[in-house]
Amino acid sequence: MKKIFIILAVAVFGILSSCKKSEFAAAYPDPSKIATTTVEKQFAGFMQSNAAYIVPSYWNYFVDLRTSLLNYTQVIGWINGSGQYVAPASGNSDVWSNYYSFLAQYRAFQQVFAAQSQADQTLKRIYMIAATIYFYDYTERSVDLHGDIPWSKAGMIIPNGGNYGVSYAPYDKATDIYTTMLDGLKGFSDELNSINVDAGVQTLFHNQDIVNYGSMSLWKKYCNSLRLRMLTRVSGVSALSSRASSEMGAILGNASSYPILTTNSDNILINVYSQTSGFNSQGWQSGLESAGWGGNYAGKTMIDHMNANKDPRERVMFEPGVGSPGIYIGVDPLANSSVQTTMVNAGINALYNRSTLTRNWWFPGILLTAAEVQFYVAEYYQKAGNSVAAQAAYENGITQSVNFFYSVRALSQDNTSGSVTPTTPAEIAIYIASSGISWTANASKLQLIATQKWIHLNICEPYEGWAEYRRLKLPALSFWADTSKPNNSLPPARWIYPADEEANNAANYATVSAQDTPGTKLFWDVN
Amino acid sequence: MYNVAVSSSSENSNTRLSITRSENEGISMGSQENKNNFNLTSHHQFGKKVSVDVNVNYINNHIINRPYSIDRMINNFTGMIGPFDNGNWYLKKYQTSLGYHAVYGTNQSLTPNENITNSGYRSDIMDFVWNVKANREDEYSDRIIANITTNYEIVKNLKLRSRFATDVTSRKIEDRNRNTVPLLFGNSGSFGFSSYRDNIFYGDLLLTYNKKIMPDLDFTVMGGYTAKEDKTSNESVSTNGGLSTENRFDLSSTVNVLNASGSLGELVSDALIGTINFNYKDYLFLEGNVRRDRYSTMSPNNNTFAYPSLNSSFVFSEALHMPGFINYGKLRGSWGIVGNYPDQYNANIAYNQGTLGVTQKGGSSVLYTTLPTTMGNDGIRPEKKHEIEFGLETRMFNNRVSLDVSYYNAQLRDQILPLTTPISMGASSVLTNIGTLRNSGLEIGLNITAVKAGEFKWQTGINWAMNHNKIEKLTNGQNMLQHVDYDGSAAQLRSYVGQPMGDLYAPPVLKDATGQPIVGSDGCYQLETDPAKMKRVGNVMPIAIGGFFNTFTYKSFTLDAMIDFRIGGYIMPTGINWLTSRGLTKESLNHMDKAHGGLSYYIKVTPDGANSGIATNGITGPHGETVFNDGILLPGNAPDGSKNTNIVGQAYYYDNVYNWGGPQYGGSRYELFMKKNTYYKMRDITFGYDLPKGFANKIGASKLRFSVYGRNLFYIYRNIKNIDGEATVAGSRWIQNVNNAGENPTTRTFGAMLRASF
Repeated sequence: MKKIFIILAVAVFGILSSCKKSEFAAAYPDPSKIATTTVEKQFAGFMQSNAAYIVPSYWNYFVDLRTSLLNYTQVIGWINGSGQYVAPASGNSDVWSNYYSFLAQYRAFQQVFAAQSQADQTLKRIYMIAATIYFYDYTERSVDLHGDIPWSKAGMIIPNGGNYGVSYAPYDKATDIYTTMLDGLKGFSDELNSINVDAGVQTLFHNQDIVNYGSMSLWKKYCNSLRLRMLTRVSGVSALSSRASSEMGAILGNASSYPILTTNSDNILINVYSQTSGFNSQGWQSGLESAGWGGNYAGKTMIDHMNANKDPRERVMFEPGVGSPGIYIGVDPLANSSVQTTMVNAGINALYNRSTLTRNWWFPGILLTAAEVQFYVAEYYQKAGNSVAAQAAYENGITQSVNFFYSVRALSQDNTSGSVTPTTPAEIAIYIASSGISWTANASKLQLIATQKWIHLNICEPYEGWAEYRRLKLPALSFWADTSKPNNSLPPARWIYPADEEANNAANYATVSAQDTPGTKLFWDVN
Repeated sequence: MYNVAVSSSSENSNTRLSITRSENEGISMGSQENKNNFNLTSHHQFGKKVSVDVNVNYINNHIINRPYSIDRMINNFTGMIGPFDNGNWYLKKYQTSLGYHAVYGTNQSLTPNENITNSGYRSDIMDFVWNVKANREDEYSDRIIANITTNYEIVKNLKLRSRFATDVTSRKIEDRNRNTVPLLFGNSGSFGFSSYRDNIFYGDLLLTYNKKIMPDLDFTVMGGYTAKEDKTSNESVSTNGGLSTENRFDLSSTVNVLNASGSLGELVSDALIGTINFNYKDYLFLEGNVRRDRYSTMSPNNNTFAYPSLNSSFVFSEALHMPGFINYGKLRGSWGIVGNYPDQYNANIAYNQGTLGVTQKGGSSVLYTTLPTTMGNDGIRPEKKHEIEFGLETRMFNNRVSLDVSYYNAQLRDQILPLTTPISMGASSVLTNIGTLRNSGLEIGLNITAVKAGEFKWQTGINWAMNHNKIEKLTNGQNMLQHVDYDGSAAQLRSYVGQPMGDLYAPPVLKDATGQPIVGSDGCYQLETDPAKMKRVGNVMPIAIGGFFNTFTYKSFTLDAMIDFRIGGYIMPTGINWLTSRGLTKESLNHMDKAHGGLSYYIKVTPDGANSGIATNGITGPHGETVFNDGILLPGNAPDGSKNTNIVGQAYYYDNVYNWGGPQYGGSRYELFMKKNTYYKMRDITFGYDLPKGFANKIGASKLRFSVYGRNLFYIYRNIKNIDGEATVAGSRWIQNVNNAGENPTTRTFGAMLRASF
């Protein structure tokens, strides 16, 4: 009997003694995660981390934009209701969190990069330049939404190794962020001209770069065009206006060293390559077409302008409502809500063209297009007194915009909205020469440029559109006043900080709480 | 349900095998559960010194279509079935005559005549019926729990016990979703299966030495080691993009490349244990323990911890001379520290890895990493619970009164929780030792034989439990911990340092300088939009829970009645309130006409385009406007300071006030959703009769008892109508059980039972 027991005891001990120290160490990390990464992998991880806010997605459009920025710029029509100008709390905190999750990936990228040998850092410098340009582009969007934001000391919990006590991020002044970014981009625009990317590095960079596919030429154009956009944004600020005009002059005066976007083939996009890999725009339909939630109705001001001037984009951007075949009608923002409801229920109003836009699974994520850059150029020349160059840029902007919408329509797999007659250069020329559009026939050039930019940006680039509308207050838009919300009776001048900051970053929030109202204007909002 | 058991025994061993099979049809349509349970226990004696016990339990389960929870149906506006709706209509209409999902409006269909063209249907109800009738989910699970224990008396007073045990669970789920539309119109339907396996292996070894060191003093010392390993794996594979052949449920029917995913997990822990125990004259006991744990969810550099504890008990009725009415009395006291560790993989900081696939012509897959923004913490310390407990057990008056009282007070130091951090620092939460919590409580059990007269006996008693939680300190220096933000800052669940945990906050109605509530131009109250200015509505922890029972016995008859209660503790069943917004509760009928208190008014359009309801006694308004009789006038002031005179229709009022979302989205007043969940419930009434022994013996039984019972019968009182106050639990953590409007439908059970003992 003892034998049996001894065998059992030995068996038990054999099993138990196998609980070694190494086993505990092996079971500590999650097998699906990895302890270290590479510059190339973290670069791609960073670049894709804001894709759902660049490539049209359900959440960005339905939760964040549908009831906010699209209304503040009247690029859509909607039914007036109480509280419509209050920033959507979940949309606001969602856009904010995405920006800082994106920033966290940038900090992780910086950390991985800094851990490389000096030689490797030099070799892989292009990754740092590209990541930082991309980081600045998206940062501008966030600053333009809120004003001062935590930035230079944000995301520090990553380099601080999880020590949260020393990682609460103070706020940077919006002007300081702009200045830092403009200085950085200026440096990159020269460095990109002299950088020599090793062929081996280039091969992998080409694959990991989901935006420009490793094209040096496009990164240069992106960098310089981004500078034009930022400089234009701050051009009305007295402290920065002379810098803006001299730097824009320097860029535009030397196209070989500082190329910019001039045609649609230059557009900086996240392309939809496949419906089963990478990115796609399948979520846009539910984002703006969910029955009963609105989001894709045409607004009266834009439709009236398009009708009056026979805009070649109208048929590709919009489609008539089922209740008014062949006629484009927009929802009047000043009408009584019951009148608006009746109109919408009867399907009288036009819709954004579903086949071109919301149901187009191949619609790219837009970072910067040639058309908008041309409009910034036109504004610069107009201000600088060079009307000829301004007109050329304005007209090129229109041409690029029209062609852009026909080209994205050509990508679409959907034909719900019916086929569209292609545009022709002649049609565009007639449009450019028509009395309402003509550069020479109209006195207010800024009005012309702003209106074209507004039509071009429409629902496709709403963040850009809202910033530009606030800067110029053009085209002039009238809004129904919501008297039920005394602090939000009209569209806000900025989004307030999300509740997360006030609750969890209280000490730093206290330094900006006084200016945290919907009416506080951005530093560049001087008109 | 069937149960069969057989046993055999001999001098040195005995064995028992039992088999139980049960078949339950679910309360939810199309749901069924079949369960088989096999149990084998056996004891073997090898000589005088060695004995072995073996216990094997095998449970086999097949569940068809796990039921939906009520919450899923009503916490969703399109799912609420209206009072004029008919469930049978959905059962008839959910599929077309060709077996596809019902088609609405003018949408594409092979059977356009069958399209549902009228409005008023609830698409979520239709989808629910489709899911339970057309789709099928089979869940098969097998679980084996087995252990073998060996006892060996090495020499007198020195014993060795070894045990090892396994607990293996294996589960497989097969999902068959039928094609909802013909292939001609598009791809639909799916098939997939997933499997889960959990393998727990456990062993321990204990050496015990026992000796009488003095005539009245017993001494025991014990040392041991225990170890546990838990391995899990998950895999799932399913079709992607639909079934290429209609209703052919196989992976080969996939339209696109198959979806596949899986994960592995492992947890290892062990402990060294030492105990010393003294027993003086069987009335004074003292025990000291030390335990040293190792845990793999902690950083390997810092995963070993030791905890002491002390227990004592004193039977004072034995030791001291007591007055006669005390039959038994015992005092207990204990102090100890217990450790708790983070969940698997939560502490470790590492990169997620992924692939975007090919994103350009001629490219290869773009591989990437990201750092999670919920951060771990390699330096996390174990949570330590320092607890003292005192208990008193007494029986008095010839054992007719018994009273158990216990009091506990625990300080939870270094509680492990993800600390919410501002995402601007790069992480939305960091695993931390967040602070110190205090948990104290009192439990009382009183049992009285109130009447004992001849063959009649009345026993009554009460169980009463009270528990208090509070935060004593937060390590980040803040004074508040926010647990949940509901529906876009419509409400929050918070705990403040020094206060009981779990306060519900909601935006209050705005007040003007004179203290009057402000009524907006839409006739409803204006709400505070700043989350920092939310007001406290109530605490979610119940003040007390317990039960009250009575048993009456007369000769062979017994009557049992059991009442359960809960006093206090707020909940916020949002779905129930959303029913009010859709006019589906009795409350939403208030003010619907004059008879229900509705005011008469006509609508005037003000110069700024808003509508204003003006009171009238006329049949029409001054300009022939229609007069409505469903008005509500809210007391308060208009934004300009004048007294509110704007009458609003009750349908608008209820839709606005009981809707979804925070003040940014509308006028929903979540403070009205929060109510005390107090209830007194008739848990059980049983009437039993013991058949005469002679009769029982005739059929070979030693005892035969017949009873009828009713369970979950009715509420004596409940503060929240339209809901089962008990069925609001959605998870194991208290913060999950605040806003749920109901799990599976609760049932009222009636039954009759005949129990025979042989």
